[in-house]
Amino acid sequence: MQKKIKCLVWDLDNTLWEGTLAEDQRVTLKEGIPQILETLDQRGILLSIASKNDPRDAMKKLEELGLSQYFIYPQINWNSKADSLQKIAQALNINLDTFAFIDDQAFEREEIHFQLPQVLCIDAENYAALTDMPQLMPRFVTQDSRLRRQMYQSDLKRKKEEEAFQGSSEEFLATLDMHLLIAPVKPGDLERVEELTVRTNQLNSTGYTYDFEQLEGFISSDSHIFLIASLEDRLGTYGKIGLILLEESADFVEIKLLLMSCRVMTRGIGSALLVHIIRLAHEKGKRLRAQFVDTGRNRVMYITYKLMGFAEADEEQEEQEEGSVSILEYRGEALREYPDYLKVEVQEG
Amino acid sequence: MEEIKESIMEFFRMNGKAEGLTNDTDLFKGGYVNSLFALQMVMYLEKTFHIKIKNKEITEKNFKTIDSIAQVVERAQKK
Repeated sequence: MQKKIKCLVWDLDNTLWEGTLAEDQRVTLKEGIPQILETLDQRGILLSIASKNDPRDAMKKLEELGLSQYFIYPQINWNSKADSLQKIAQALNINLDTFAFIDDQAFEREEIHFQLPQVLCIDAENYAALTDMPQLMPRFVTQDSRLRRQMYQSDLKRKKEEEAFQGSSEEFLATLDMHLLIAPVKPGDLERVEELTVRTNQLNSTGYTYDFEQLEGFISSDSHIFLIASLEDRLGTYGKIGLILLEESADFVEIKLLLMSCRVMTRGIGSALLVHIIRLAHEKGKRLRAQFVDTGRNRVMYITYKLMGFAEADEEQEEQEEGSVSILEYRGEALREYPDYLKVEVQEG
Repeated sequence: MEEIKESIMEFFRMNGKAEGLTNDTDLFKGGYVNSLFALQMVMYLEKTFHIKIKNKEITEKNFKTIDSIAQVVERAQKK
């Protein structure tokens, strides 16, 4: 399957518009550009910029053209574009192998191709076909995809507030007035559920993906508990950002899948979801286990489990190879409290 | 051992989290540690001391205080 693109990075001169801004301020947009940007934005593909230009002039021009709101973390400077792409990836916390880059200059594309071979490079000549490229066509467009750019923009506001905040990160989190809702997955959520399982790499305990029928099956299954979490705070909604799949047997509740969008990293959501699961297993009087698959990218999830009181079910077990399943068992206190800075609401099925 | 503790303290300082922190402060109760921070700390320790911290060493107990984290580093150095 072709890798789906999460972020498309644009050059400006002779790519987004005709002409070179530094030479002539009267550049004009290429035909159809506003529609293309709007279409990709609505599909939930993030748009950014890597352009060698004067940042003030270029941003002013984008505002004049009514397009500046589409671009997140634009990099307009005289640095190498490989640097710019890396900066964008870091700011968005998205892996570069889901990036595409469009530029009219062959040497810029070659530089990216050489330094960041995982990035898909597109010749600006082909810009009109962008919206037809399969890599830029997500399988589903959900409410969360349509709002994705705005959600990242609220994140930017949060980051700025956090940087200016005097005090510990927990004190800052308390000022956000976060509200976490945990609810059973409903059939209308399934597209978002699939999107989450496919898109989430770092904060994903197993990386399991399921087809639509399997996901539907978990909703009606008596031996599964299938939950979706949404988060909002005073700066806006984060959307549906977390997923839990539990399998019940006679003695155990087993976590098959626990994942969160990387946008909520450092929000303590992983711990809050685990507290909910620990309580649930306790109410049922069953032991709690979790499957963990080391995908090479999700060490932070392993640490989340371990620091919440999970341990290898088999203590003699040797260090795991990447890709194999290990079983963790909860050995901590029977009941745990949700973090103070978070209001948790649990909706019953 | 003191050097190790100092280097861990330095990591908290770099992250603006050293206020009121001593070697035996409960890092979880004090809200000093979340998983991402713990991951960054593990990577920092591995790089600074040229060690590999085994999964088995990553436990709530071992990461409770700077004292206990320093012991993790010391055990890894002996291997």
